[in-house]
Amino acid sequence: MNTTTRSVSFVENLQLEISDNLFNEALLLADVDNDGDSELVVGQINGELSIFKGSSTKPWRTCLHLGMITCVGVGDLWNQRENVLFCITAEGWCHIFYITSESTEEILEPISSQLIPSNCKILLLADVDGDGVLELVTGHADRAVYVHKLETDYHEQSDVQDQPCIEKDEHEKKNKTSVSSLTSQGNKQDLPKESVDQEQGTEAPQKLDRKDSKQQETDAKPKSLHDLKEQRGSGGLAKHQTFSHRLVTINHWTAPSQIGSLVVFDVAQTRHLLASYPGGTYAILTSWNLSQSEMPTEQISSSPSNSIFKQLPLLWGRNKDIPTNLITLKSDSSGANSVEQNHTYLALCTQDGHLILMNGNKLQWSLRVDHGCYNLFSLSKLDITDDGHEEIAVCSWDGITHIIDRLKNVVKFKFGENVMAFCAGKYAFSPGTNLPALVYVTSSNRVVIYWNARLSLMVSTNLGVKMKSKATHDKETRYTIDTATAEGGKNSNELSQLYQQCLYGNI
Amino acid sequence: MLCPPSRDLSFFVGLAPGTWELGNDNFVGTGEGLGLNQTNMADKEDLNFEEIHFSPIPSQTNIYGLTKIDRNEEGNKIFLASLSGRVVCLEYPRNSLVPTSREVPFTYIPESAEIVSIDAFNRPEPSKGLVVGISLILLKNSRSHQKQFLNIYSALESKAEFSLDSIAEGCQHLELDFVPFQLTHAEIFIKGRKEVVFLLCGSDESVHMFCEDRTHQRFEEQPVQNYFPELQNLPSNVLWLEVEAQQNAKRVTVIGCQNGHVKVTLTDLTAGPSIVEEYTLDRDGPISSVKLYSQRSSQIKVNSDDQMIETTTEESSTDYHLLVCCAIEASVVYTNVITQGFTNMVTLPDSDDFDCVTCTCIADVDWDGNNEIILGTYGQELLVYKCISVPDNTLQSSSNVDFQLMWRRSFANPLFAIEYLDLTNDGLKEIAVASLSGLHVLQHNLDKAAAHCLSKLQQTSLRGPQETESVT
Repeated sequence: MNTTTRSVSFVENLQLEISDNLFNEALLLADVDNDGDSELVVGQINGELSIFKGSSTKPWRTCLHLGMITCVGVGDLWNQRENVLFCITAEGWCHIFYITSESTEEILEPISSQLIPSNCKILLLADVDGDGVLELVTGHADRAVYVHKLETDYHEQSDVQDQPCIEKDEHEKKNKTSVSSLTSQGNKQDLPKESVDQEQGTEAPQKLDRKDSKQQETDAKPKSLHDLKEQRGSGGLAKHQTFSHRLVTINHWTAPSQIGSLVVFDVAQTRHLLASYPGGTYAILTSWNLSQSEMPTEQISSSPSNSIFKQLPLLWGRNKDIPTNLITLKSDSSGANSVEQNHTYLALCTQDGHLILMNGNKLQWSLRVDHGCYNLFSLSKLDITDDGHEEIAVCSWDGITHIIDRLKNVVKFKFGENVMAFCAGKYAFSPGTNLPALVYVTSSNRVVIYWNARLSLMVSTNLGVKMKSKATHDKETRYTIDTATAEGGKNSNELSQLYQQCLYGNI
Repeated sequence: MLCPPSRDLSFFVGLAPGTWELGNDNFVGTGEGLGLNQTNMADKEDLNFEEIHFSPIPSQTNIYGLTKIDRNEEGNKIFLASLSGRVVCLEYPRNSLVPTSREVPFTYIPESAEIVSIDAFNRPEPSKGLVVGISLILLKNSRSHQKQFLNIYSALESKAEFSLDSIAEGCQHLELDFVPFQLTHAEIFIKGRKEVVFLLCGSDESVHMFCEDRTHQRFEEQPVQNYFPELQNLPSNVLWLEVEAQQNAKRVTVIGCQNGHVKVTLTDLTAGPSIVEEYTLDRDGPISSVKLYSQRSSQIKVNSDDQMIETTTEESSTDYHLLVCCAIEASVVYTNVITQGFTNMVTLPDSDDFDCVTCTCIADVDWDGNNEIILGTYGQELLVYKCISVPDNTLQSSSNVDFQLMWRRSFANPLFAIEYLDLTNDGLKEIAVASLSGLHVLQHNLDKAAAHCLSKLQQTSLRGPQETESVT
């Protein structure tokens, strides 16, 4: 494989001040207010949640005293084709915000705040049971993974906070008997059936969009006619007055070691929920068949209840305790090559600088980031060339960022400061234009958004290569070049002299 | 005269003096002036560059820190010297899309040395060897005990293929009794033979000439007035020197001084150098750069020896323009300086909006045969100006020349030097920009370049095959 490494420098940036430190999972680029433009969500340890929008250096929306925010997520969890913002604290509070661009109040009020198990450190928004509705998957510092579903109650309720706690307690009690390490709690049947029906209608869509917390796609498809009606009926801001939301735990696992990250990964019509473990390994927590959209309940309960421990074919000696991160990449090659369509890749990165890209069950490549650049603490992704193929962005504590595409081409960017948190994605500096962006949080509580981190190509090219590719696609071009070079001597040296004459000489 | 105080020196090396506070204010201003950037979006359509490479340097560079090396058979290289005594060489190996950037191990540069300026040239025929000069300051304990040196590196063997390492080893160490500024080179004729000499501007208000003694194969300082009578009795330290040899045995020399003095001299070389014409001008601030150029991007500059076509004799002396960049004023162009002196002045609009202009480059970046002006500023902006309303060379109507900002790009650091050369060996030239943090390579939009190339090729193929023969 012909791969290249080059370094670039990005210029256009926006510098923001924040008041306190934050976790890496509490930094997110997503469309919070459902206007199509991406915003930056920053949740700090002191309980301040800020949303930055556009070119302003002041927070667009804030909410204070939320607790020690460990992770934030944005997604269509309530299945209304509109994103809601989640913010989970170490204490176990999950605050849900519904934000529209119409509302002008700068101080946010959560539409719902409720307790989930504490010590949550990572979250994932994905459809993990194949019912077409997103679930909230939380990974906890005490090695537990929970799957929650957001339920909407129709009846008016003034106190939304007590109910879920009770619900949860009961729920856990019910499961107490079967809790054991590495055991799936397939207790979907215990759930009130009608709540599922309310949320998703009667039919689940055939094709499921992968959703996750880091990069939330905004083009959620209409689920059914039923949903549309429901949405129209409920109508915008009035929602939280007539409906109450509660998170219900529907499944949980206990992992043997610390979980680095959670992802869903599709391999050949099968969707897996993966959790990464230290030492460059991951486990499949659950998997189900995507093509069989019906009876997802059975799928879950009948799936093997223990997680499958995956050892990766790493060639180098590795530290067993090194934290590991996972991310899935989408690669849209729509049109031309119908053979490879909508591939998802799985990228695995250990903090000591090893990167692996998996395509399905195949190892695509592995890479060792050059020495002196360890502590790759943050793994993110963005489509830096805007070609539908997502690239990996991995950042180390000292600010050196590697952007790697699926063909193993590397672009290096050196952010000159130490980094506390990093994420990549899209950001709309000017309204209506989402551009590839890199976000760094420095140790001096400064957020730097490189809002125009665009590259036209991952691999730099030159005029000779360009002309050659033009010539192969276009007969006229080839003819012109052939006549100019008099059918012979097409050595690249002579060609470049010819091009130089064309551009700078007086022919 | 003794060396200036050390503080003063760091200003020269880093930047022109006296503009630090001013500069910082301006920098804040430009950071907020992003709106201006948006308004120029339309202009960006015409011209577009993308950064294809950036190689960091260990410490900062200065306005004399970049030099290009033309080696036709081996491709072009570029040297960037950093203050810490390291020199980085960037080149694209043949048939490679990835540049190699490495440090050249020049000998006799101690740890405590700070490089001031670097320059390189190819020896004239027949020896063809590469000569690199590096001026440096050696700090001994404190600034008051500093020593200055000029290191000249050259490969003794005159083989065609040169290796950087062998050049870096052969060093000649010349101690200087002045603080060096710009190091440049010029052609002179000694006994009818063409020689290239180093010209080193110094803090003693003079320019020093170092000439190679062929028999002893070593460089020695020669009195500059014998060969450059225009470079004696200077009123101030020279910050920038330009020497341009003309076809008709004439030479144009331009100096830009620390006190704002600019002098253009036309020298006749036929029977010993004698000054024919001299124009002087005093600007308000230090002159950071002067550039002499002609409106037409002449083919002779582009081509190497064997492809020279004698077509430029009729307008070789008439249309020289002079670009003068002053640290505290807007940059200006004096048109037709050789014939009319400093009479026609055209200001480059907005060129003083981004702190002082530190570096300039003259290049035909839109391939229309006319030169554009590229300015690099301490305020982290690269500005490209185009001459709109091309002047009529024959008449006095040249006053209607005007310049328009054609393209601009922001950088993350102040800019110090610009070159326009073909680094990628594909015939298309790139802009190499040295900033505080490293070397940026900006490439033209390849689609536009390819389209332009094809249209030119189609024109030539229509005109007949005999011309294309001469091309290939």
